[in-house]
Amino acid sequence: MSTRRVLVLIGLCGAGTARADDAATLVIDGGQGSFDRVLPAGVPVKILVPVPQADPSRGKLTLYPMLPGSKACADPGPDRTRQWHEYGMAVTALGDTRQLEATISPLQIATTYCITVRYEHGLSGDQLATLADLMGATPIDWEASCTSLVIDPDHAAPRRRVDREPAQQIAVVREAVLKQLTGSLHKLRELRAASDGAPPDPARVAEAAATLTELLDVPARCSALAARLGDEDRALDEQQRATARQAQAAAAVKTLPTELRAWPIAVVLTDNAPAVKTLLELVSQSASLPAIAAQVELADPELASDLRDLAAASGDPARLAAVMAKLRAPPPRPIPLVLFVPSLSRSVRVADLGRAGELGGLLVDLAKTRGPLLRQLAVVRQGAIAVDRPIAERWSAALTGLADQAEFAVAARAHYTETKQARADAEEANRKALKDLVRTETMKGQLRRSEAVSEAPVTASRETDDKASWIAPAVGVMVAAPYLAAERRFADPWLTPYLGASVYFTRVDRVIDVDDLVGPSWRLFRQRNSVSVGLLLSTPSVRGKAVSGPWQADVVPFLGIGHRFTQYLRGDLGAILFQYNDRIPVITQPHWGVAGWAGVSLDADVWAVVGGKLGR
Amino acid sequence: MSGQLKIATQSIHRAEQPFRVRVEITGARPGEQPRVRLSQSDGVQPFYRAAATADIDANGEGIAVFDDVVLHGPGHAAILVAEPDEPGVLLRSDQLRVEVVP
Repeated sequence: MSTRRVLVLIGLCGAGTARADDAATLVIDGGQGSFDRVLPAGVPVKILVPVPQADPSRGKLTLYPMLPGSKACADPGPDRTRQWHEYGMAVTALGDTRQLEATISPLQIATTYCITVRYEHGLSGDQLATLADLMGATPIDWEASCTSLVIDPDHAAPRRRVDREPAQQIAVVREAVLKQLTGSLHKLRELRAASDGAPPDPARVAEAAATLTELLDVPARCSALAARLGDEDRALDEQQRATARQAQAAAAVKTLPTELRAWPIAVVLTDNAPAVKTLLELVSQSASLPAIAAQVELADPELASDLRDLAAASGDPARLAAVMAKLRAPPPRPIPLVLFVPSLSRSVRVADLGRAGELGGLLVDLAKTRGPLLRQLAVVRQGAIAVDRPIAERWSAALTGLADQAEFAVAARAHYTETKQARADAEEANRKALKDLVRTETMKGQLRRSEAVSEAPVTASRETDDKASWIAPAVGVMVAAPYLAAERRFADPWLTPYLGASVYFTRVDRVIDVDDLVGPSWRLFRQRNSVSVGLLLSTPSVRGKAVSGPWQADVVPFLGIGHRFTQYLRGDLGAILFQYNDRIPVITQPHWGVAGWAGVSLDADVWAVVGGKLGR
Repeated sequence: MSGQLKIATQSIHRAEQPFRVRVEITGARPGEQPRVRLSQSDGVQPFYRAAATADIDANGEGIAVFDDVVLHGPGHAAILVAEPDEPGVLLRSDQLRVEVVP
């Protein structure tokens, strides 16, 4: 008995805690679940569910026995079956991944259970990557978020750009980020056609947007961008002023005298370089005369005609001498000033510079290389009469000024383009920073939790072990009514303890309440009813003399059947065959008797005690 | 050869807040001073409409600046159209869709 007490003590000490070998892992693969082992019966079991998603937020486990005759799990609900339980699941770390776990109450032996796991998790890695792309396209009006245009009476421009207050910059950007984040999360739900699971938590989304904005360091970015915007504004102002000055210079050119008393000059190509020559220098080169005549035509058609005639006469000396004499004298009247414009490949009468085409050609040449035009004016000045030389000088000065302004305007435009690109680069850097920030671990953690994605429930079934005994010791007390066959009467009843063994026709579950046992009827019958055999622990007596067992054995055996009321308490009915002595002492031949009895016994399963299942 | 107009501004703007629009001109005749009209063709009334003159530089480029563009109707989109404001100017028009936010 002392050994038994020790075992009971061990069993009690083990009660209430799941041991290491009382854990089972539910492996989810491709939406299907399977257990890695037979489920231990009669002890609390820790169910472990490693989840593929990195960040499960909460889980729920539903447990129920598979219905008799069923081959698949079908949740009948809590009111339609015994042993239906639902458990919340805790999230624990398992290396780099997470797992859900719940400790379930003891299971019935040799029974198939269905376990359904439902869990939610945050956004997956792929979803976060998509979210980062969507967030990278956040339409933030950085210019208006960081600065505003105000009227400044002291400034030449109609409006002046000023920086917004940092708090205002942050608020504007945060609002845009929040709007984009909310829209992006909805977009993600659409992409995965999610109809279940909790919608994005507005508070968490707002928190994520605030964190993202904070990490973005909006004031610093606005400061950098405002500097670029300032550069761009100044460059634009300068470009506007430069082109305006160019227009003024062009307008000034149009007011100059367009005629003077100077023979036109000619431009010839020498080694592909334009060279400015006087007509006197060229007139003896008869091969060049037709081209020179074409240049002269605009200035003095009569002189052009003379040159063409000279060319036709193949350099007739008399004609040549006449033309040269004419050219050595100043023109008899003012003649139109004509300049050869290289970009147009033709000569232009300066009086026609009011035409867009002519002025355009002049501007192109002045902006690129003013030399050929100014050299023409220098030669014209030398050939002009003294009183008209200032006209040539004024033209030279005006075209020099126009050339300066044309160069400035082109340079200003190029500078504006550079500053505009720098501003665009700064804005692009901000967009990229936003996109990169979404991919940081800090933001991933926050964004992942901003939405709970419900995974499809996973159901797995597995049978429990049958580690239980089919035989149990029984200790009890009985009341017996002995019938004395020889005398055809009952003797006084016996009250006696007994010790026996209960033999069941199945392994007996000692943990689950007998009223909660599940299974087919025959199985439930066998779980509760047994055959008993044993001995009385004290020898009863008839008429003061102890009875004996059959054939005068020293012990009195019994037979019976028992029915468990609880896991360990049983009622027994049975019969005892015994022998007793005759009332007349000299008659030594014992008589047979039989006693019917009823008893109550403790039905303790040794295996249950050893397995720590006693008292669960 | 005809030139091209291009509207340069952000694609999002706050309602009732004045902002700057630049109409960049390329491929125009150097020295020209085309008049460019910027108008609103879609969105919430009253529509914006103004014209500005640009001076074209020697590269045929210029910029017309509209400093006080104001759009109405937060939550709606507006379409800005840039086109020559005078006949005979060969500049292809441009348009830009602008989101008007509160």
